[in-house]
Amino acid sequence: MNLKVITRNIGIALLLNALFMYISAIVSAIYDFDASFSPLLLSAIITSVVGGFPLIFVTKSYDINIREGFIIVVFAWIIACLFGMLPYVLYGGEFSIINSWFESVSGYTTTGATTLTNIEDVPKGLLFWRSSTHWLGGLGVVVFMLLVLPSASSFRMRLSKMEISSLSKDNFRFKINQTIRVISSVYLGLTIAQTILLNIAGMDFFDAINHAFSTVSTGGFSTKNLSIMQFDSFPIELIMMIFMVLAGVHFGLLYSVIAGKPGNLFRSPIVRFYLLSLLVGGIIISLNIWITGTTSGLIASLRQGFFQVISIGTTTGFATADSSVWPAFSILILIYFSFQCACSGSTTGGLKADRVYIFFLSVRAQLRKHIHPNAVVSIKLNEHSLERDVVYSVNLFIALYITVVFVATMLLTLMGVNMEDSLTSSVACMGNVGPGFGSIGSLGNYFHFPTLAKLLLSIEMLFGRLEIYSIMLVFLIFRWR
Amino acid sequence: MGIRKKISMGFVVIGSILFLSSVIAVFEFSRMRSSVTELMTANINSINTSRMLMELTDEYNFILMSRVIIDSSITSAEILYDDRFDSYIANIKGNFSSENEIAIADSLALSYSKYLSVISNSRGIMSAGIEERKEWYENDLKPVFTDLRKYKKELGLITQTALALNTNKLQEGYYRSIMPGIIAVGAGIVLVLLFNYFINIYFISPILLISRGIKNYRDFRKSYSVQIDNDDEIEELNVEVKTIVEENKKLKSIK
Repeated sequence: MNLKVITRNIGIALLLNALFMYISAIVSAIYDFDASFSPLLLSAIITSVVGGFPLIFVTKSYDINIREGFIIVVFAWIIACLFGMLPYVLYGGEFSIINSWFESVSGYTTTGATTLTNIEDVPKGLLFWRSSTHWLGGLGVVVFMLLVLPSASSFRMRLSKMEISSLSKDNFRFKINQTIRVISSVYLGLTIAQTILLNIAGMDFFDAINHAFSTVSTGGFSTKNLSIMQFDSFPIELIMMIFMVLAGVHFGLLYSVIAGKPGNLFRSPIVRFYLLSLLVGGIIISLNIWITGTTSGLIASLRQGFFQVISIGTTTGFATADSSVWPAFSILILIYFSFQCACSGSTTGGLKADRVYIFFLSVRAQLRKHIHPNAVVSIKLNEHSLERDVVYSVNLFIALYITVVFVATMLLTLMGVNMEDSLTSSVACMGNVGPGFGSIGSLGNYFHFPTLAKLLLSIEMLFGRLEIYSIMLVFLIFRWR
Repeated sequence: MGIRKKISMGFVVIGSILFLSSVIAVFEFSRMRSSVTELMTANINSINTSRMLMELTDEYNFILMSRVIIDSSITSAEILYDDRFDSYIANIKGNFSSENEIAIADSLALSYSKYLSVISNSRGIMSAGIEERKEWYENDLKPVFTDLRKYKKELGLITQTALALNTNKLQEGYYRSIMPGIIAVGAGIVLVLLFNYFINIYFISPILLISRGIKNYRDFRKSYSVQIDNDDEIEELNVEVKTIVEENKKLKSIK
């Protein structure tokens, strides 16, 4: 294992983080050198010095093997989270050490769960840094690294396999160089477009860019205590909904739409399944909250129902209503969406619509097999028969995912967290959704959780973001042959 | 990049971090000192003001009592119309920043002037009958004195709240002053460890490999096949050693 290349690449990832810390310090300077200026500047200096140090010695770029690739990806995330918490720790206030770590991990993993009880009290520079961690995490520290590193294609392939769900590559056969270009251009394009539209819809520029960062990365950090509810504007909600849905689609498909092939979007069975599930979920929840009198009027029900379904179903986590007080039926549907989430190849977390779709196909195939025991039943996705291994690994992943959620829930109850909070926080953090239900609902926060619970949930966020296996493999790295 | 430059840069970076951490420590502690001084001054001012207000009111009450008991001949102008109260109020308002605090200070000033106005009539009241005096006490003196006490109490509460806030500020200031130093020192330690690691893998390990390779060649006639993946003088040294070993082999074969 070449430790030189590992330290060099992690150093480059840190330098990119430092760049955004400097930008946040500039934002702080624009807002009359608010209280976050010196924490951000100092963090930027420390991060850039530590990140740049390995480059003094490791001047050459090397090709890397799969083992190094795993270590770089996992450690780049963890170290980025560690250095990303520096501005919070230095600022103090509500940010204790554990709260800073939780906020940093939640930012980078695009979870959007917060420990802040009064977001609007936080200086603008720090709020910008908070949204930047979403943006950086969404695009992926590793993808950033690939953009700045003139490395071999094999290197890129290995890293991206970890960063982008491998299922997306089965569906859409992009070359890896092209994939990185596509992701970055779509990502940047969506961010700029949303910022402009939100600004036109009445949000001030600072809020618009922060919310665009959070939406495109499907994070969910807001600059307001009441999240999107604060704005009480239908145009803003509509823009947010459109961009949340778009951010949940495979970026390669979005690129093909931009490139003049909009038909590709609806030809994908995964996208059809994803959009249809959001539509059905939205209608059912809207009707449920309308009939039970939770909201006043059908229009308000549709507005709130669809927003919440899209927000949870894309793992974003913004809110226009406190869904914790909704009927149990609606809450359970939202919990289902916290598991399913959106398409692979996007920045969303969770099981991914792809896996859930394949799971349903495999259940159907199994039923057919029971009816016709001698029949050869294949599982087809987009005219292609799926290999047994793919179906097996998908179902195994789902089982593993649910096991991790269950174990974390049990551990949380052991720490004194109540049943509802334990289950929904575990689901929300594993799926990188952010808000759960109960005290950690869309308008709540994780401030009151015990320290160990926050630590456990932050580990769960990392597990969810790196799709479980990557972290587990790093622990077994020295046993590889 | 050459060895000299690499090592020098390593030391420069570590030195810079240490320098930075010491600058931060000095800066933060001097900021802490001035903020503690400011907070202490503000707290002492607030406590003094409250105490003086209390003493002043007691003084006036005493005068009033003396008039009632011994029909004192001290004129109100001698004691009542001094500027102490006005200067206290100005002092309080100077320390206050919120509208609520200033409003309470204004209310206190107003209730004080009303109290003075009532007190100034006390001489005439002393010669009146018991019923008239009772009426004066119930309708004139008691309300203004109650108001004065109420605003004094509110002012006291504000002062106490300000003291609690100042304590929190002090704690926060202490946290903010100590954290940068700790983090800078932590970063310094990380850099020292990294530096040690790089010196080991870039300089010490290759030199040991070269030395072992030469020894193996000399003692056991093993071929010299040390591979070093550096881009500095160590790699050049390895190439030179390889050349010398090859020349040595040739010389031995000629012999």
